[in-house]
Amino acid sequence: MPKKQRILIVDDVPDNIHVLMDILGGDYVLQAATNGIKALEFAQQKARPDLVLLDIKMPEMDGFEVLKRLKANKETETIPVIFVTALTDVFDETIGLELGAVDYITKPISAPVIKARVKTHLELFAHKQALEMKVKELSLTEDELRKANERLKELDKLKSMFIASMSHELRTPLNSIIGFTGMMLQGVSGELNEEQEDNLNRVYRSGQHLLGLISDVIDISKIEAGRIEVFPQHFDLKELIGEALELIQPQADKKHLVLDLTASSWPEMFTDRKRLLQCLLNYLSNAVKFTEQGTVRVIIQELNGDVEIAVSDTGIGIAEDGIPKLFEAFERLESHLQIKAGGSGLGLYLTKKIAHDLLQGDVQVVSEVKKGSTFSIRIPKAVRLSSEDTEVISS
Amino acid sequence: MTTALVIEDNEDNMVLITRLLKSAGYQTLEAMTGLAGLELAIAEQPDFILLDIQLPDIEGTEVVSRLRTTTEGKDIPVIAVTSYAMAGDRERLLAAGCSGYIEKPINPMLVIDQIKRITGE
Repeated sequence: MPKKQRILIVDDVPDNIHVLMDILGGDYVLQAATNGIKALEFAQQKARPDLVLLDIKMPEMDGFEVLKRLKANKETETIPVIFVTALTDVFDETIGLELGAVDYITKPISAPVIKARVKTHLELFAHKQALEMKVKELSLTEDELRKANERLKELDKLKSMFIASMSHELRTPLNSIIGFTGMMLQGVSGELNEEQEDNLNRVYRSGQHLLGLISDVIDISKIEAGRIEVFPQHFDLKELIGEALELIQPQADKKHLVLDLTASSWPEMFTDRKRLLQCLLNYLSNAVKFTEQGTVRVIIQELNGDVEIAVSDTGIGIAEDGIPKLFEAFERLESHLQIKAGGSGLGLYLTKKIAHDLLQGDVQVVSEVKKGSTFSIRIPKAVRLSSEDTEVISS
Repeated sequence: MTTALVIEDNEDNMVLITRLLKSAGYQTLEAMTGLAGLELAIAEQPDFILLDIQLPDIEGTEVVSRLRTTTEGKDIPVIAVTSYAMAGDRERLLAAGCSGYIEKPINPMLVIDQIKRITGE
């Protein structure tokens, strides 16, 4: 059995109260007040009425005033009020409803009408309350979700920072390994026989490979944590491309690949030179890795304020279904060549991150199996500086 | 014989760079803190200084600035050794009086050439 609902009857004439009590008795918990002050008191007690039946013409304080005060109080403003009155003037009814009464019943009253209206308004009120409760719960849940989400983002940043600083610690001893191996390979500590040189070369190459991986992890973690800075500078794109090609030339020579360059113009750049070079070297070394014969071509184009640098190869190409995954972390396509070529599986992901998050541009790829691939990066010629950015360094 | 003063707090880096320098025919002096480096520079007046920028006692830029105020040290070329993370400091390094910089970690295959290019040998 649900709890009986409470009705407060307010009338200065006890007979009128008794009539209503007779009609409603049994179905509800009834309470009566013979004046406005008493009524307000009852309305504010802990067991609040679910409905008030309110007479208008009363000495001292009339029903309109009682309603106004109920509405003015946060605790009682939602309690539905029905006027039960001898005033039949439409004008009074209008005032009553405008003040916020849910209904207006005129005397003499009819028992079935009273019963039906009371029932309807109580139901409405109960539904309204249930609805309000739901909304409240939902907004609480939403609040919790938002907080949890913020916390997760915070933790994700912490994770990235942890990885970045951890990796940084790994780099220091690794630099010693590479440094000293490199020094011995230079013959600084004495002549090496063929086998010793080969051994050291293997240590050196593995060290360089590991260093590359660690550097990629550091860069990605820092970008993800929003802790990497852009160092824009003015530079000549032609000279940057020249440097990239020069660095990749030995690898291309080993495979007898032709390096080629096409440029419609050479824009003046103002962006993070080192990061752009990093992206280009990544594209170029991939192109050389996955091309067995033919040409690796760099193509420069200016497109309204942007510059697009494309690296096009005549290599193995990528199947259509592999393309969407290319720029994701740790996505390496299954291929004999790919495994042979090594790499971290982070290079393209990092390139995209740099292009997107640091250089304010984007990356793109077009590819055809057995014909070759074209990877491009499109960035603004001049990076847009926000007030938070660091000072500009000139080259 | 050309004398190089290396100011570097990491022992591995110190050994690596001084061995490379020696094998290329340089004489080397070593200091593991900025202040010790300053003292040695003033006392010995090396032909150039290789200066790590992150030192335990005083910043590398501070070492250069102080050196430039002394009569003995005002003309000694200083090559800063910095990591890319500090790229923003480079202009300050050059403004403070460095002749150039070498990126960290040093590349044993290239470092001697890099030094020669900066000192103009």
